[in-house]
Amino acid sequence: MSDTVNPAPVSPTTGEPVQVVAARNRLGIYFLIVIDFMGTMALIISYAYLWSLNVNNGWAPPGSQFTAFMSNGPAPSATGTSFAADWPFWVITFAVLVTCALTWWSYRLTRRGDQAVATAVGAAAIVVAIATLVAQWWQISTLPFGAANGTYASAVLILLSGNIVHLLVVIFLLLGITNRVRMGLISRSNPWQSQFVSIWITWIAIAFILGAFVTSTMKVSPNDNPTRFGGFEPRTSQPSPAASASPSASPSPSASPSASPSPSS
Amino acid sequence: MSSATVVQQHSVPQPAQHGKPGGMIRHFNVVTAVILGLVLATIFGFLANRLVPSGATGATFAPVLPDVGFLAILIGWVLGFMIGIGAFIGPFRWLMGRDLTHADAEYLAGKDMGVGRYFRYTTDHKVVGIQYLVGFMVIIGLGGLLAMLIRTELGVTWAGVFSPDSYNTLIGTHGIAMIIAMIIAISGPVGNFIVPIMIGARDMAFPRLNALSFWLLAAAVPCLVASMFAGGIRDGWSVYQPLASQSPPGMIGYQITIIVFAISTGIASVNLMTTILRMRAKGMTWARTPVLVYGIFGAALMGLYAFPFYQYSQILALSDRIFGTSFFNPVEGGSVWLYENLFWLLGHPEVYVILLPSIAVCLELIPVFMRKPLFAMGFAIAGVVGVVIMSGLVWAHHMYMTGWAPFANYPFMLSTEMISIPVGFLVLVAIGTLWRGTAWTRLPLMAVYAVIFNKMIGGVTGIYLSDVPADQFFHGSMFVVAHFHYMLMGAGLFGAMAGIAFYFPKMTGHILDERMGSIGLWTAFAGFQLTFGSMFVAGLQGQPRRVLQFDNLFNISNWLSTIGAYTIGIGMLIFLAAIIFSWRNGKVASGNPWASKSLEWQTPTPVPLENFTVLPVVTERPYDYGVPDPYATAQKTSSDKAGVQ
Repeated sequence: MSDTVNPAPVSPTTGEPVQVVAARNRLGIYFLIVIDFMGTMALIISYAYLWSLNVNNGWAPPGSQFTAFMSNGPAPSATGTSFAADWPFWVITFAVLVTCALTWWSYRLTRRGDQAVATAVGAAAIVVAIATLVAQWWQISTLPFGAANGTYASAVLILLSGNIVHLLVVIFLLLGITNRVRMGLISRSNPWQSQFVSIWITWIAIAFILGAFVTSTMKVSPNDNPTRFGGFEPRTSQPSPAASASPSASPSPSASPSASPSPSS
Repeated sequence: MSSATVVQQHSVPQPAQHGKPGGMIRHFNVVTAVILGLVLATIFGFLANRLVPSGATGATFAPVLPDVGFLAILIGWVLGFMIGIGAFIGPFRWLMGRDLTHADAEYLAGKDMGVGRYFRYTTDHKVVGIQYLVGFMVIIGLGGLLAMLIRTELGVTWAGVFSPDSYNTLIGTHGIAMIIAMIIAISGPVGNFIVPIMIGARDMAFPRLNALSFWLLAAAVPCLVASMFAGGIRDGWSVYQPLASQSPPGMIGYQITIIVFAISTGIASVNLMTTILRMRAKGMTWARTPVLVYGIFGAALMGLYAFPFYQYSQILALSDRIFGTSFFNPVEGGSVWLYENLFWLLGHPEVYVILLPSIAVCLELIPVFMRKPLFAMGFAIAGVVGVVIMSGLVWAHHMYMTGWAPFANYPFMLSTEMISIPVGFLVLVAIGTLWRGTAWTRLPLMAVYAVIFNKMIGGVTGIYLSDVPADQFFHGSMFVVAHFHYMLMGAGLFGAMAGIAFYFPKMTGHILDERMGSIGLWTAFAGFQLTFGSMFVAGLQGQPRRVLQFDNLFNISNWLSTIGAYTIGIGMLIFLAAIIFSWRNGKVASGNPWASKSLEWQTPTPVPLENFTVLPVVTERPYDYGVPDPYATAQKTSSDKAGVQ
């Protein structure tokens, strides 16, 4: 008669059971997500705050504009549009969701011990992530405004730059995980790193959704009587805010930002 | 019938040892880091010079090249330094599937490496703790030197020692250097060296991240120093917009310092919190967890949620400057209030990131020197929790006078006044533990007395400033400067001195010279009262802060403040001399020179690489001084009963 004992596999580095190490690392991943979440919230709060204030009517981007950087280069062509199209945000978000689903699938396959298929699915996730990065770059380079074209442009560009950084991290992690699954370092008995990467990419997908949501739903500023700074108005005997002329670059406060975007500099 | 046990070991591949333990990282140390940092800084600066069009100007018609060039140099420095210290080898090995062997891990921890381990990417938490201690002393030395220069200028009005721009640079650099120093003052050395041993762990949860957090700090600080040579930081430590966007390129040094320091703090917070939550010894329930651990955890948690706002405020400011975005430029639709909100969302929790560990270290050592249990430990924990929750709800009290959301002033006044309740819990627990105790008055306990005195003054004056009508009078005056120095330096720095004096024997193996240390402590304390007591008077008289020249009315107060500042400097130098002398030639410490009951003192000194031969099991609370040992009492009772029978 014999008894079969299944001792928990141990980490080669610390000698602790891999489950113990995994629990620790998982908590660390959650805390890292909290940090990244707060950073993403800082960007989204900035977007929403500037959208709601519309200071100097400077939220909406103009149709075409010489920016400071452009002044040393070729003249930009007029685009005639103000806001970015919605669909690229959502297409890119969808691609990130596909990457996320593939990563989780790869993790499930690893847990089942199907390493060859898990590697193939991981490779597919890498391809999708790289394609998403290219698409993200394409979106940035074809936006109908430059960085210096008002606060909407600033807020969108910084969100998209954040997306680029997130995608670079995702691609690095996917490359590492897929290679390690291929080498058998991540296996049925120790699949946890694959799970951590899946958790991280899930958060990244949520960040993309948040970004796409605010850029799609918060376009035209609700503030059509914004605060005005940066200029001086001549004193008149009978001040009338609606009729006062400003020598500054600030447009009339009654102008609709979406209908007649203001020159901002 | 025979039986056999079949052990089915799941296969976890064992990494192969390639070459000598440590691999590539054997070739990297601080010298290679500095060399590679300088090389990359030069290359990046050269490339920026070549790529930026000649004569290009920014939105303010200022030339673009100085900004872009300085930014490129700083990025090159940070990147090169981190490559040169070996920070990227871990991720690269992970990517390639070359995991660490046990021998690799031991090499990285600095096993048998001697003093050289302090100059490498060493993962042992004790080494990182010492690195943080030295780093703290260097940064506070820089900030203190700048403070001396500031007070030299302000000794009498129209002294004219520095130009206004140089004076403003001294103020800004002093401010941010001191903030960085105080944030790491206790969480760095004590949090890294002591906390893992205190909870019965062999190391931090993520040793390589631990090393990364320190070396990022080491890469960030030279950016701050470099900023002084590129026009300086002329807008105070808060670098309000739009002033900051109009500053010389030195401002970019500030921004890169903060961005890198925030990453360092973030990963240090993750590491500390995970270690505390997951690696406490068996039997160390929350009721048996020392209060210092709560304090460090609370500070790390605040750093976790608050630092990203500060970091992103600087990223956005940098983007405005370099890429021409307009987050904070009102002319183009930006808002300076956005900056102020993002900044103070960290700015106020940061006060408690400094204060909580300071007060917690005091609470930790009072029972040891009073030989009695910590009074109302539950209230101390409630105080920590209350501070962590409420610190995120008080930021706008810095903006009463800016015109942002006047209707919000009174809710923020209420929340700010309410945070004095949990802080009051912590002070009352300290006083309650001191009450009617028999004090074993040694250097650490004397520093605690100083902390309590300073904290009371800083706390009470803070209540005035939280009050909107009173703040209308005090805002922008020297009164505010005196108040926050009582909080950050009076409570924070003296708390750090208490912690260093208390844990010095465990960290260095030597007792800190009591006589020299005490002279330094009390000299600094006396100078501190003179400096900032006089500053309260100047503030009440109406002297504005951040102003180089002042009316003759304020001459006496400023003269006394300057004498006090030099006295602080002398005191701190004496304390530093005590540290250096004791470290080199001090009396050798036993494993537990204070006869403390907590775990960190049960290990031998110097602490072995893995801290404990066998992981400890905790069976009682850490502050049961004078309380009969229940196990011994039970044994005595049973033997008495046996004797009766």
